[in-house]
Amino acid sequence: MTGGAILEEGEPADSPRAIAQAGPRAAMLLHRAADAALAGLPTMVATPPSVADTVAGYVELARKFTPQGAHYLENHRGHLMFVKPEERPFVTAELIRRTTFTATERELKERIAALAEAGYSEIALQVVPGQEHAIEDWGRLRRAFV
Amino acid sequence: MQFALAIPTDADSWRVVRRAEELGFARAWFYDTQMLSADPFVAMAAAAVKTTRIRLGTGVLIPSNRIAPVAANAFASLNKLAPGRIDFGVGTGFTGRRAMGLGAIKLADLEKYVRVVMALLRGETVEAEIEQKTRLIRLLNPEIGLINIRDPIPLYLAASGPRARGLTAKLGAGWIAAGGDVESAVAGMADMRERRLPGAGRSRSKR
Repeated sequence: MTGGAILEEGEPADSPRAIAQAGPRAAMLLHRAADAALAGLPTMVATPPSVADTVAGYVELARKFTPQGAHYLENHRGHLMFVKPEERPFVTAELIRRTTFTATERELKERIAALAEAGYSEIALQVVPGQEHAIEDWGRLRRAFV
Repeated sequence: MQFALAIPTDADSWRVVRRAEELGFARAWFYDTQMLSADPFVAMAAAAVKTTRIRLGTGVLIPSNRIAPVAANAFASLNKLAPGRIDFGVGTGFTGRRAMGLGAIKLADLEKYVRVVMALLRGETVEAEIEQKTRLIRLLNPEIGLINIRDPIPLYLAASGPRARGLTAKLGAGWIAAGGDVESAVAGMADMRERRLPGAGRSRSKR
């Protein structure tokens, strides 16, 4: 189960479209890091070194979330659905590349083929509220695997 | 490789699910996150009557938020609307519980919960803990057709860590993995394959 966006050739991974479609999935790592730092809950996934500073920056932001003692309310607002304005600076192109299926159609076909080769039988792609039209892009990609 | 949809549940998710069905998607998973999105059973019921082929599953249900007999009944009710197209996806509850400031439930509690739900869906009489007391329960009159427990409802576990993958193998369940990193996904599948080998649970417990 994953999410992402199919980029046009030359389109950056933090284009407005990519942020809308893949940003909520990428922000999961930020939210989990804040849960770990502020509530001691496990992240379950390692933070790639290339985004460590980004994640640390978000955690500092989350320390200011109110009401104090219930940081999870603001931390999880929009979780897997939209990118909050205050977290937008931390949802970087690198974070999206590292944590989601966001790439060109050619690269995504290679990545999905690698999953199939490993033994996966299904890929479930998240479509977030307001971006339901993304199903058409994924449907086009699906045809390559029929 | 079949394609599926993962949906932050909207009460009218049936619209995108119906389009996914037209595009050839095999399944739609509905998030069970009470503080963040709509109720999956409501949305799945609408999708069940608006579609004909696509499978519909909870992705994933959180045991602490729905007692086992209620969950079993909801699946059996959906299974009447979409016979044989319903999947029981379940996990320890990351997103839905964290939105309430809670950590995941214990794997042992997940296992107990799954055993009760699956037993009820098989029409069995099962011991279940309700209001801190263990008692026998059963879906009492499935034969009159208000619900459907004839068509099987497959079990899927969301499992990120090795112990959860071990439980997935132990229960013979389908495995739901999450992530965006192919390298980790490939390593996870290798671990899962090893855990599904005959005797794998016993040999690992000795380590």
